[in-house]
Amino acid sequence: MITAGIDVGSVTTKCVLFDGKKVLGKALTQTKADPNLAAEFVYKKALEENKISKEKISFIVSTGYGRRAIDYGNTSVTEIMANATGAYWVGCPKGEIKTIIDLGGQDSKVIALEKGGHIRNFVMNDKCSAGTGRFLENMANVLGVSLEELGSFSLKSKNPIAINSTCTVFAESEIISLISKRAKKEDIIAGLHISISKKIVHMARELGVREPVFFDGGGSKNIGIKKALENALGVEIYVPENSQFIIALGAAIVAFKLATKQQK
Amino acid sequence: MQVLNNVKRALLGDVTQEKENPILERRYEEEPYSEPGKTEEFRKKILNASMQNLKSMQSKKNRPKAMAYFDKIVTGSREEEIKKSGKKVLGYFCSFIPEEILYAADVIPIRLCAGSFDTMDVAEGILPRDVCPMVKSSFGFKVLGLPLMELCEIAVVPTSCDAKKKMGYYLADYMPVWMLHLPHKKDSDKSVKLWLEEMYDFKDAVEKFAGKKISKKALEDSTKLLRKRTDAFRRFLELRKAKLIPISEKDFLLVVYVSFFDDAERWTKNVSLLCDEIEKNIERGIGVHSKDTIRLLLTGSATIWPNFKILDIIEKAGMAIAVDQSCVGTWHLYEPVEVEEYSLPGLMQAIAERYLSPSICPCFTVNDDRFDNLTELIKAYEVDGVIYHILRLCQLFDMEAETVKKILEKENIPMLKVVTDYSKEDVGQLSTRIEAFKEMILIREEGEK
Amino acid sequence: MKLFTLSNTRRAVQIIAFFLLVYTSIFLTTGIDIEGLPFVSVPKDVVRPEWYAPEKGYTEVFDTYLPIKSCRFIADENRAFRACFMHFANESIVWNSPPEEWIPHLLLFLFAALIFARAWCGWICPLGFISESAFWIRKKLGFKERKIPEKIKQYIPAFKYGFLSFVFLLSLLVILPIGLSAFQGEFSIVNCATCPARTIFPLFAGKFSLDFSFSNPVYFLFSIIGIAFLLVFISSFFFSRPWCRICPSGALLSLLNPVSFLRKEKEKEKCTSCGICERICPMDNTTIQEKKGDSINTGNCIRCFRCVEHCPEEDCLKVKFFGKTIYKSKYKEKTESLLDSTKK
Repeated sequence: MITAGIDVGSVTTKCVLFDGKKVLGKALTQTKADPNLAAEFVYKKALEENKISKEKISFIVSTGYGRRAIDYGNTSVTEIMANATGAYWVGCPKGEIKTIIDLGGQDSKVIALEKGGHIRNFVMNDKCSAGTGRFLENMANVLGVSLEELGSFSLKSKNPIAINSTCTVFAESEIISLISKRAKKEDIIAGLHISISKKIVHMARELGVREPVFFDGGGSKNIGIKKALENALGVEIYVPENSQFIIALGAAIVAFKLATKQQK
Repeated sequence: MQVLNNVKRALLGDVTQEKENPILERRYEEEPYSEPGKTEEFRKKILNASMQNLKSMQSKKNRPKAMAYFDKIVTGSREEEIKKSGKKVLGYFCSFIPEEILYAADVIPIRLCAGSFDTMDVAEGILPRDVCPMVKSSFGFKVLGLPLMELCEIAVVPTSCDAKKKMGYYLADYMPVWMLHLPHKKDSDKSVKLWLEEMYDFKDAVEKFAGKKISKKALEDSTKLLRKRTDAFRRFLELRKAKLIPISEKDFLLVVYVSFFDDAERWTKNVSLLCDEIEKNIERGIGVHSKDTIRLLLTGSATIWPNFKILDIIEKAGMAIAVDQSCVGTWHLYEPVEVEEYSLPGLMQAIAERYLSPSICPCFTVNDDRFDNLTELIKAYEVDGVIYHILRLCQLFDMEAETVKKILEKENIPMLKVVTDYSKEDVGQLSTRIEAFKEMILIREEGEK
Repeated sequence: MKLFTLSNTRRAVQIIAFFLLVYTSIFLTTGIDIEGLPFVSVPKDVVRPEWYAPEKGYTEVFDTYLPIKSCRFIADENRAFRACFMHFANESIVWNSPPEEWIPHLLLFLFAALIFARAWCGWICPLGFISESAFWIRKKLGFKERKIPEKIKQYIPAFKYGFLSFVFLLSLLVILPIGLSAFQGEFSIVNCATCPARTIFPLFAGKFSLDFSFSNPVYFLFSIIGIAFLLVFISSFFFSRPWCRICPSGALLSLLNPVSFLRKEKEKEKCTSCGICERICPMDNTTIQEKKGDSINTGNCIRCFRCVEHCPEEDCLKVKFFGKTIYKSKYKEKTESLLDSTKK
């Protein structure tokens, strides 16, 4: 039995195909203005690239902020549920995952799990772009650096400069004034990463951080943030491969569980 | 002579004779800002908001037919009635003001706490942006000259929270404001004495306002009338414990909201009819939700008509609110006035104690009674989860969330903290959170099986 | 109007007890003719005041002493009980009665006290009933209630136990070899001399006598105290049960209140701190409303259970008898009670 999970995020849409034991394929595209179109596109792409026909898919679960835009899905779950399911399945070498940090394009969240992968509690920041991927994108723009380089740049810094503003708009002004004072790029970037991690740490403290900690979402590809979080929380953070697809994978796993139940 | 007086006062148990008029007097007066031209437009907006709510509520299956009375009252029939009656009208905030005294003086009381989003903007000209939405909304009613606030000749504001205190100051430009000194500590004997004195001053001020003395008989009669109201309300609350939820939270909040301005006797009669119908429904196994719907408890800042945003989202997610712990719901009429001594001091003591001592408002220094009541409600109504609703910038409820969280962790009841305001812009985000909460509870239930 | 409320039941029991104790002579007769107290051998040469020895010989139906003011001064011919336990204790100590005479009565007292403690005060004692009736008459007539001022209230427990100790002390002083044995006669009746029941009870049997002797310093002191206590009792028209707060019999029972088998229990989490229990308590008990500690069964509580009756929260206050719950608090709709209707 093959199931599909489609994560319609605010910036990117992802699709993952799952057969109960392993990931069969995945695909990603930019959501842009039409979530429905993006979902359809990414679903078709995943099927084509892995030579699986539509009829073979028994169950589709959508998730993410645009989860209701899809009309051909069987059901939808929140990205919190999907993230918890996906992260738990992927696991980490240290043992059962207890905390998940998700740094998405327009929101960030921390999920606390208890034994068995059940959600104990969660905290979301979706009101303000501080501590999200959008924040990083804007700053990368201002600094003339690509998003992918940000992480490695920050590691070069020996003297991070504290960025006081958490608001994207005000932080931009602060960075521009720092650049004019000839501050080193890597120091500014390191300061930015610390700023983001502060916002996430604030959320995490509300829940109580327990190890092992799992880091996923688009922002998890940035090694600078991973290091900044590790420093701030004092714990080791595990970033899985293909961390951006964990939520879609979680949706696919939920689809598989539901399909199995349906069969009985 | 002084010693003799003191002995006499001590033995007679009389309250001090130092009277003070509770009226708030401003020296720095301002010309009250108003937008009278917009009254009609906003009247329609408010009616529209009410109708929208009613439309969704009336379409629910098995809604008790006795709710039709409350639908009628909330869409504005009360304004004409009040004007025709020719009686004096007095508005008040919060649930600390004794309506017994007002009914005894033949004054119509109206609780002014408002939940309208539309009236907030005009208030932001005077009140700062970072202030409780409820206060801004209520203030906006005055700026726009909207009913039922417009019918009120006086506004009574207790010094419960900071926002209300200072709003009262600005409101004094528009209408006479009486500020009653609510003690910060509610569990001390001194506080009860202070509040009792405030009640006596309030009674004198009402007598002057109404132009008639409040006799002991009148106060006794009004106390008995409002006791009947509380009796009917308690019966209503008991029926909500049924396994199959007999009435939705929205209907319940509507019933309580109508009591803010409706005639007490008529309201009591209709609630009794509603209870009769609900009893029959429970017997026949008719409910408004299916048997295995998740039961939630809603606590925290007030969700006042027509701001039912959270309730809509919870309903859409397929969960039900079995009971609430809010001052515009369960706790507006919960406590009875138990009179043992039907003398004027006895009545006043009973009234003062009822309105101060059992309150669950977080404006007091220690509010442990609220936490006790929370655990009790969870047990009595067999609740699966708690939604802690905080209006943005309400520090009082926000601060108590920490204690509630720890207590619920010990009881192993999941809690979701929801911080929002009256605007509709965060419906999507709230839906995600509430749906995730539902998923959490379902998995927990499955795990327990 | 509900008929079988707890208050009405208690009132009925009080009325029956009152009639039993005060008017036994009308209902019951026995053939026993006793003069003085046969269990206590009084030396023949002791002179007692005239007011102490009743005119005729008297008989009683039950050969025992109740823990309440079952006064021996009530009726001349037939009365229900021999006297109150305080008087018995007082006399037994002073006359140094042999143990076999007081042990059975003491055991009976302990038995009664351990099981019911101050429920005797709240349900049976005629003085308490008269007190409450006077208070109720005041309410009907429309006079204002008075509350004992805080400044005086704080000294009441000390005074109560102080006076109790005083009675026992005087009784003990006589039998100690310190030369006070001359006062045996006087000290043996210190309890009766100061008790208001001696004047109040005969009133109901038709005898009005203000017998206060000032013939010697000891009697002078006792009579002053007695008049003061009588005034305290009479003030029960304005205050709620003022005598009960200092009554020595009550004080004796108070000592056993915290451990008695008829007790109240409170589920603190159900309490909304409304304060109704405290306001309604006839003994001004302020610990019922408290939510910390376990002081709900204090020495003050006369087990009238009005707090349990009027508490609006279900199951918050409970009455337990030998561990079994026999009465629970519940929200009651306000109906006119038989006794509280204020139609003038």
